[in-house]
Amino acid sequence: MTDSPETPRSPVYVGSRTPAPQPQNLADVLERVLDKGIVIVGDIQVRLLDIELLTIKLRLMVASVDRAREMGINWWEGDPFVTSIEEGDGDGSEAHQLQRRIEELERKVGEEPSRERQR
Amino acid sequence: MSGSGDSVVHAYGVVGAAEPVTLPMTGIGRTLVRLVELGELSIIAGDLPASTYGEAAWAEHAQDPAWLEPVARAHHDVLQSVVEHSDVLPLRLPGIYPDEEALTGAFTASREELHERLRFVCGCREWSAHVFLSAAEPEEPAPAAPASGRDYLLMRKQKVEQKGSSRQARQELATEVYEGLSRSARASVVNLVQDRALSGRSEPMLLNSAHLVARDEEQDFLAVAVELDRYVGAAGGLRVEVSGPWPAYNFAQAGDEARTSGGRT
Repeated sequence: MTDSPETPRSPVYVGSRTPAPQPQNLADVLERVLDKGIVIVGDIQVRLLDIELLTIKLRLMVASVDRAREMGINWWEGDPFVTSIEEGDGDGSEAHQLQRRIEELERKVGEEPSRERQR
Repeated sequence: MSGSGDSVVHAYGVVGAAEPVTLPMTGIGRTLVRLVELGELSIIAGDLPASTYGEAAWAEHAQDPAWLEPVARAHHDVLQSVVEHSDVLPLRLPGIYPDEEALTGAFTASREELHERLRFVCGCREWSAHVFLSAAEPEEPAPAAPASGRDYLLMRKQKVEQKGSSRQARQELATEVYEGLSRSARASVVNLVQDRALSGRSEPMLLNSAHLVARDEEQDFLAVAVELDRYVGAAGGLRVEVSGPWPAYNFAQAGDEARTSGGRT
């Protein structure tokens, strides 16, 4: 499996059942080169600190949506690059649906009792 | 070479000067990769055209994944080919300096720290572990439509509670994976899980960790990973995926490692 001399360049993915589709996951690379590694600050680095925006964005994408929401951050809503986070996200969207449904029910009950059955 | 306004120096990482290092020919933008000697350390560096990779280029393009991805990958590829055979301390991006003088100045000032970190990762490489929920949660057959609003809320409550307890059980299994892997590692760190948008996977990730493993203990580490995968697969439908070896990105900066285990038992 891995006792041959290591494959150069790409880390080997060791999934015992299904090998991961990509040889090298971009997320794993970005997480490392942008957020890990040692920082040796020179003049340019000081000026480039603004670019940490990117790191922050990545960090937020990496963080769970729920946690970001707790922090009161919702910039991703409407950001096409990250909207897929929302899709099929277990509890977040379910909670939303539930909330919407309750609001809908409250509206029906409160305002128009006569129209509660439309069919 | 460097020092003029049309090029900047990019630093990839640091190696011990005594260690023989096999450098790849080229790095970012197919530019040459070379070693800059600094006493007992050598900096893996390259000269890049300032117009395409200088400070202004970073400021302008750093938010653009199409620009960033090849830079990130090329930076990583250089380090990856070095770590196959020698210890290397990877640098975080952006790693550019106006000229070689600025580069050596900055690195000289951080010499102590660089030595200390190189010693820390000495003889080790990084392995990444991800735990995924391998199958979608079994969907129950659609229950009968609730007869009333109260029924509906009761049903929801039960469902949420069930979900909560199985979620907790899975989280505990993921923790067991982390602890099991940590016992075969010199140091370990837990990172935030990657969201699906980043991981590109449809299954949720429950654990994202990195482990510093001695080169001669990698086979043991992998064997433990396979065993843990089998265990959590049977116990909770989880899957353990391990990748590596990586350069020790997660252990390059002091204080990043959450815990230094006493190594193996």
